[in-house]
Amino acid sequence: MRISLTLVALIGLSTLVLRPLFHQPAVRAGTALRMEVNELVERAELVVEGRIMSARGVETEAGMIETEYQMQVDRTFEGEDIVDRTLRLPGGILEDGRGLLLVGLPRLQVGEEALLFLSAASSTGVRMPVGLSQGRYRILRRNDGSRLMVRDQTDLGLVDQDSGHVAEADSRHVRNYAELIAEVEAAVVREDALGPRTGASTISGAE
Amino acid sequence: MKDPRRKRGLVATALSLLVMGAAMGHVRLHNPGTGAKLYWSNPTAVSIVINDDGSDNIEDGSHETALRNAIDAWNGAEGTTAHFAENTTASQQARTDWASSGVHLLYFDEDNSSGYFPPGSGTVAITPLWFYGGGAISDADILFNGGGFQFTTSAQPGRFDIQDVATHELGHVLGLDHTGVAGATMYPYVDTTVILHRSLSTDDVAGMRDAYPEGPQASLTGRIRRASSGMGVAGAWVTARDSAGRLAGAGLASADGSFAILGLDPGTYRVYARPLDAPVSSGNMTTGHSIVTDFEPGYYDSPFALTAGEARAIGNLDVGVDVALSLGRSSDNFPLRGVRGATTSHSLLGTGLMPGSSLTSPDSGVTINATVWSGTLVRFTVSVPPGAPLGHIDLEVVDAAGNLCVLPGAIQLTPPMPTVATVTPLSGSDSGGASMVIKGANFEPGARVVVGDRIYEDGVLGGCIVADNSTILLTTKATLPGLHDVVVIDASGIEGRQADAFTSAALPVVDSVFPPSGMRSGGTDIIVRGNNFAQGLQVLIDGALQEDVVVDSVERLIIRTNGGLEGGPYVVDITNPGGGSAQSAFAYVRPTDPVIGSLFPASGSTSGGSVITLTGSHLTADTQVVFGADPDTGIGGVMADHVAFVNASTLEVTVPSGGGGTTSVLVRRGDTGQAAVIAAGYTYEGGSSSGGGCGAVIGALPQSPKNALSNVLWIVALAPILLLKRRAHVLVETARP
Repeated sequence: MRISLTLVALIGLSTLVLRPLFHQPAVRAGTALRMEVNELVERAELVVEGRIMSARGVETEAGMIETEYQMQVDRTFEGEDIVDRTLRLPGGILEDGRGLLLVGLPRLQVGEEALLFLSAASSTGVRMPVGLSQGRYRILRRNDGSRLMVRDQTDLGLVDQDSGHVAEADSRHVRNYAELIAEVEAAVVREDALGPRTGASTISGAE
Repeated sequence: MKDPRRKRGLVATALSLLVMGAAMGHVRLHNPGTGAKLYWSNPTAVSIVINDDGSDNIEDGSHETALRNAIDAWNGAEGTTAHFAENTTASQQARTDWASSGVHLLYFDEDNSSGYFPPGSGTVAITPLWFYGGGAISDADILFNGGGFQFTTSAQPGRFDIQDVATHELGHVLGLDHTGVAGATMYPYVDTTVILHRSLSTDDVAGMRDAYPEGPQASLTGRIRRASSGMGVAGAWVTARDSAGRLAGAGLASADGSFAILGLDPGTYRVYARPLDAPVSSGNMTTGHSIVTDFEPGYYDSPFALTAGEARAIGNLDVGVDVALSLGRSSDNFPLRGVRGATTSHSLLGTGLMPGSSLTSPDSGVTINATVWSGTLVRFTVSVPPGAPLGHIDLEVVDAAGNLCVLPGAIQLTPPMPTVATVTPLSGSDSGGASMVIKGANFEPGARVVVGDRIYEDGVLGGCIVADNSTILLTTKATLPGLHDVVVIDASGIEGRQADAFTSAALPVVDSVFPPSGMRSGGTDIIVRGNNFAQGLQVLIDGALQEDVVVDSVERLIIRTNGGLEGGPYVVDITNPGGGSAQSAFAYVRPTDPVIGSLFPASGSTSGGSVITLTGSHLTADTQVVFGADPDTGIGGVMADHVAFVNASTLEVTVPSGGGGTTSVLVRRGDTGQAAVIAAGYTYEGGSSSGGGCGAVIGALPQSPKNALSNVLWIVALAPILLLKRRAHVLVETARP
């Protein structure tokens, strides 16, 4: 066990050392670095899987519009484990129809199951999805109960044309649930092996 | 164009809101709650403000020029009423309250004051848009993550190009979503090496024409259907290509497969549909679109001709089942660059890229030569004829089985890169006015030049003139002081630059040099009066650096001369650390400078007439003595009524009348202008003071003709004498065996 942890730590360290040598292109809608799962975990302060129970647009005293989500957490990979979480994300729509769109930021739907990679909460309690839309995978269930992870913002279910089952799609945007969760877990182990964080901003070559 | 691992086709059904009706050309942002498209109700003057703090990474103010170039890119779009109106008032540029609806700010958030850039967020820039329920935009701002990322205006490696990022984000400000056109500014991926998004593609322009049309626009409408069932293909990406093979416009089909490509110019177009799967996919679009990707690209059978303003329905296009062939991944950097008159090498990722496939462009003049097919990668060269029209061209792959994949707008054809060889002059006043000549190569009409915080656009009043392919002329405007790159940017965004090519500085100003001459052996103390003298400035006399220079104030220098070859007047070159310089004159002469030791008595009546003894050294029979001259310039004062030469150390001087108080005494050789002065040399007693006890009325007294000879005139007067002396000296030296 000790050896394997050392190896994991070495791999993690070498990743950090070598990363600045490579281009790290960005996806933008806004503009954000393009990230794989391990990077999402590295940068996130809170990684949770659960269901969105409610959403409410709120306007702050500063005139900002935010959305307050109630999330029933099934699993916490990073951060404090709280079953009924209140999450506040920037942007949203108020009852009077006014809204704030942060181009590229995901908008969670009530009833949606999601895996979220979130930054630490700001002083006002607002969290940012890491890498904007990349920080949210929706969890879809096939008719047989198996699950898929979808990273997009189109509010679409991807359904097999013939069977009506939710099916595989573009491998870069639709992931097998078990595979992706395994990647998250491995990344968390790697993070833990590297010890306490000194600040997520130090882990990117671009930052 | 799907991953070959996929076994079955997919359809997408919306779980919540779908955008109904035909999607317009390009893709517009919309209210995720109602589906209403976002728009500016007064698009002709969308106010925008560049915060003047800029980026911590940019010290020379060039962030402003980069952002202005980005603004100009959108303002240059034709056929649309949309226009940014930059507010450059200092009070607005000082604002940081980006969330206020009263300002639309371009702002570098260096300390995450917005809260949108917490550590690890990975967000480089973001565009918040406030809107009403009907879609009218009430506020929009662009925030750059200055604390988390490095930015550049000079292509520094590993830094994001401000102009490139800003041009993209400004498209969002105007209400545009991402596009499926790989080479467009609104393409959703960027890299620190990318700058071609600085220039708009026709797809981006079509987006503006769609949202804010200026007069009637030609359009194509139709529907994409499945050949197998006749059902509409939701979210098909439909592209129009002009007769030159250039991308002309595109649009996203609606849920029932109907599409409209708006904002087209008159012309003849080929139209095709492709799935929006790679490199741009549904994940790059904002919430609410219905997109399926399980079909093969296909063309309408024949091209369609459009007249100005014509709205033409072109019917249905039936497409086949999905194929295991795709070209382009989000990790590829788009657009690829094709250079007029050159061959460039590229590679693209994909699937099904097997030997036996062909790779072509729709412009038969542009030669694509694929050299390596490895299944997931194709390497190829692009050869562009010298006169090829600019714009974006597609890439098309057909595999051995005849399956088709089209990558829209993948290659941007650009002119060769401009190069800047020389810039003259090397420096100029920060208040502008310098006539600059830039020599180099590949200067194209429509180029713009950036110097510091200023932009000079070809053909625009106050801009630059592209005189020919190798020469650009301009007159500098007031520019931030400092050492600046000179950058020539062509219309595609490609730039050539010469680093640190021009210095903008507060130019020193010389009003007087006193005395105007000194002994050739050096050691003369020269007082220079003027303005803008900066600590650390350099002084050259006849090209020789003077080692003992004291900047007494911004208005006063003291130079102790090194000495030099007898002659002159020589150029005195005073250069500030920033590079601005000023010139004056000084002469080296053979005699030793006169020196004043003392006066006795050193005081007397204001009525004058008393005879005093002036002792010193190197005094001559033609030495003039002046009471009350300005000790820094030698100007003014009153000549002594009579000067009797006793010997080189002694003069008997008859004091002229004067006001009360202590005044200067100056001695000056009549032949060379060499001088010495004692600032408080003689005191007039008993007279009334005209200025609170300091009674010398220097310069206000009547002057003799000799006194009227200023130091400038001394130089003029001395010049021929010194030249003759110098010539005689040279002749003598030449005659030596």
